[in-house]
Amino acid sequence: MSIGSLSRPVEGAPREGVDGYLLQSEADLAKAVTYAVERSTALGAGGAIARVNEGGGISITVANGEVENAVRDGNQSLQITVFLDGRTGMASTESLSRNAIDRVVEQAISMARQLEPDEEAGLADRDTLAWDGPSVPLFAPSGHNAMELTDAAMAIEAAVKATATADAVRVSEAGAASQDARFALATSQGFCRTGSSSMQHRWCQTIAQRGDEMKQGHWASSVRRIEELESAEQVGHLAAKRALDMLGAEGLTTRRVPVLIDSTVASSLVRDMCGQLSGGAQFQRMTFLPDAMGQVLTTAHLSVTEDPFEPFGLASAAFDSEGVAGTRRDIIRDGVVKGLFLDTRMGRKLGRASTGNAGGMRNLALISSLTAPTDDLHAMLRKMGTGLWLTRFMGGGSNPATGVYSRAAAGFWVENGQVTQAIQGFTVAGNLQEMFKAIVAVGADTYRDGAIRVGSILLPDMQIAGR
Amino acid sequence: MSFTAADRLARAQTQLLAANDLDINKLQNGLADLWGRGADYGDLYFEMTTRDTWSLERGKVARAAFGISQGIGARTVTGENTAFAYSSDISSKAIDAVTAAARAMQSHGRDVAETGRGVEIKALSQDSQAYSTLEAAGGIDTIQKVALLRRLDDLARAVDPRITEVNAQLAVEDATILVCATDGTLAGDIRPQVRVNISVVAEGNTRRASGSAGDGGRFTLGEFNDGRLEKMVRKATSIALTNLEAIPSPAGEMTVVLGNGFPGVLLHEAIGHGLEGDFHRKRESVFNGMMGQRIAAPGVNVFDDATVPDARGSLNIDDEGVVGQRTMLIEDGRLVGLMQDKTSARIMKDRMTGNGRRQSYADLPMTRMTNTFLERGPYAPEEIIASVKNGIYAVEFSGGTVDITSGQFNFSAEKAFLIEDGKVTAPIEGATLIGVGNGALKHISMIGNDLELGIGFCGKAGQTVPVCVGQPTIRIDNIVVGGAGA
Repeated sequence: MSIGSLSRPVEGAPREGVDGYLLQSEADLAKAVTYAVERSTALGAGGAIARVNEGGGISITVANGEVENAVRDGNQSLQITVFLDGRTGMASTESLSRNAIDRVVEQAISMARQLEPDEEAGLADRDTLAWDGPSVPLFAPSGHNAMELTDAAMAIEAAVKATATADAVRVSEAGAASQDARFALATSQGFCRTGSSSMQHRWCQTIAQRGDEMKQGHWASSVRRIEELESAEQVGHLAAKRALDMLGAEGLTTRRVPVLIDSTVASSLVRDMCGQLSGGAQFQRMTFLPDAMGQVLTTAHLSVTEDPFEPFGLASAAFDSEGVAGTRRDIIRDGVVKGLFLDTRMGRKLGRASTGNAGGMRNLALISSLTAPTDDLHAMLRKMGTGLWLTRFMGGGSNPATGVYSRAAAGFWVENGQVTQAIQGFTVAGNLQEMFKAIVAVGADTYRDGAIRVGSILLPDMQIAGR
Repeated sequence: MSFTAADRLARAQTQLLAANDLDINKLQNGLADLWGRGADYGDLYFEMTTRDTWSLERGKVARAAFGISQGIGARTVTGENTAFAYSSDISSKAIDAVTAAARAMQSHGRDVAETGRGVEIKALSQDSQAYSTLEAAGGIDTIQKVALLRRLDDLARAVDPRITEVNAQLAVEDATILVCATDGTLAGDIRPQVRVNISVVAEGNTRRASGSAGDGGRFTLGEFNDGRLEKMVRKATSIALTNLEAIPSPAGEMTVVLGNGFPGVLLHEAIGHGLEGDFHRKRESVFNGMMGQRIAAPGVNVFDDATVPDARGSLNIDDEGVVGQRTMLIEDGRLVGLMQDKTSARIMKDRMTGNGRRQSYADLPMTRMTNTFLERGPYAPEEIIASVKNGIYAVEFSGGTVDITSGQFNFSAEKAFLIEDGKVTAPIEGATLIGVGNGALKHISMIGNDLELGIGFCGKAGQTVPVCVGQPTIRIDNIVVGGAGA
């Protein structure tokens, strides 16, 4: 059934088509999920929920002035969840033929019969479903064909070449992609809604070279609407600069220092923060802050907000994967936990309502009441004075149960607010429980990394290990 | 019971071709279409994978999932330009559609007139026997699957009353693949894969700690006897219980003893990725141009070996139809080999090594590792620990990453201890080990005799494939250990 999405002409395709790269209409997809749900209840399921996704697009990468990979994407999948007295059977298929749907539904039901009941499992309550809430605009198909995307990727490579210094820099991959997606969600309560969305990507991976020394740089722009993309010049220039700036990096000896985490990588700390508040972490007590509601998680000048409804937001949704709408809300207010991330089942287990977070967190922002509009990167570096400006995390991570934090990193040494030297080959370590309470300031240099908006984060004191 | 390459191909043809009214003629015509526009190479890849997973949470097996993933991928390669399209339908019409779409995506301006070259494909003559079963479930029914998870729960809770949470998962996967290519390749494989993993939480007076462990490979679920389950439970519970008492890891340069098995992630990160052919073709690896040079201490021998019987990363054939093999990467400390996929081998004029792998029909093949390990040496593990005056002993790791261009790698310990005066003492937490790939292995000073493999997932450019990593116990002098302690 998906072959139609591939037989659509992709070169010189007419631009007027509003359906972008997709073959199936929202009505087609609604039919498939409705069939899967009806089939499930006919075979004895007490409740069922089905979701189908279709995705399509073109992705082009170039290097050395030549196309490297040209990929036509066209995929689809259907997931069905059946409930038999609290027994949960799930199944998925990439074929949407009736035969394939019949087969996986039967399989889900026969597996469910072998299970034990979990009283909290089941569909969301009828009155929590987003029967008629507003939809969120997310669909802005570019209609770009392979040629146009190739030109966009080539322009990024040209921008890298134009970023000339005494050191060589080349593109290992410059890319441009445009993707559209569409879904339908139905439950056996009669709920059925659909939606469509678009994504535009530009990215560039560079290698700067000085003698035998090589350093990687990367920059990307991912947005829903073509007009929001950063220019090819900017993507190429920043990718080149990030590699070139790391040439000549030195090690750092073991010491304790203040650290400014650059806004482009600071989202990981927000993720660590919010990870403590997920239903799974709270229920399984894989957290250093069990029973988190009302407790202090961060210093008092910090808040975290969630907005599911931001038009063309990267993590927006009119309702979650169970059909429940979220709300604009505070997750953390003045350092105190005000909200968790719950789906229906975790909500029931914790004695709370779903927060509409089945399928993940929505658009989050870390806000500090101390941030002034003038707190750009330079101001933040001055605020730190002397210490580490951390611009890249490599591996390592944090342990949610203990808060133990230890990561490999790279960045720049800063003396009196001035960058003096690129540095690499060290780790930063601490404990999240203390780090969240110790954050001194958040910059106004806000960067959006997927679902998360955050400025650079200043920490007063971290343990560095190096040579 | 053993199956030959011909048996596997016959079975793949039945499941993927005959079941969808396709035959070799249709494949040859599809390949001719792909090739016709002047491409250097073209291939068609067919896959059907079924997967079921069962989950235990808080003492109950209340959730299970089943999935089918199937489709065709069509690729053409011209010079370094690859065009690719795929479909989740397996049919004659789908072959026409994906070949047309791949051709439409082929590099612009290279529009060579159709040559009408015919393609003839025939079965591989080489045989291989990397795994002995054809079906992962191996006669184990759903009731036994649920019982296996319950057994894990019982075993874990019996270890210590401080174990308060147990989660476990069991996954059974059967993949059938068939690949044909314009170079005449026609090969099929039947790939079973089972995996069981457990994670636990331990609660002490003032703190909580977690631990996890996993086991699996290309064998049947029946292999998970009590001994195997107990070993996994011991590993997971001991990580959690040890970390209840752990103090922050010291920070700085020190001597480290790495345990056997999964700590071999060191090899995977420090050198494995850097020896993948595609990174050499694109001159991105720190090991570029170092063939024949010393990159590790004498006595260090490293292999990538797809032929390890029944191992998680083993392959009878790779996803380009090349027979899985054992490739020596480092011999007595010198770089002697790279891993290659077809495209990189062709452009670099190197030998194909059967390392072309893809996550699924909907992804492009790349150079990937299979089972990568450091060969055993002469020392008993106790001897190695006793040789260290002051340092750390790191036994379990969660994983690692590498920047193949600068060579900077890191990997994170989950269970580690101080070594004081040759004795293992206090447990430590948050130890991240870092180094540079072309330097760290020169500091290996002792290699143990206790080689073991551990299972893992390897991610590269958004694709995940199953692998093993491995090593015996080793001693490394002067590696940077990052932790929050002074």
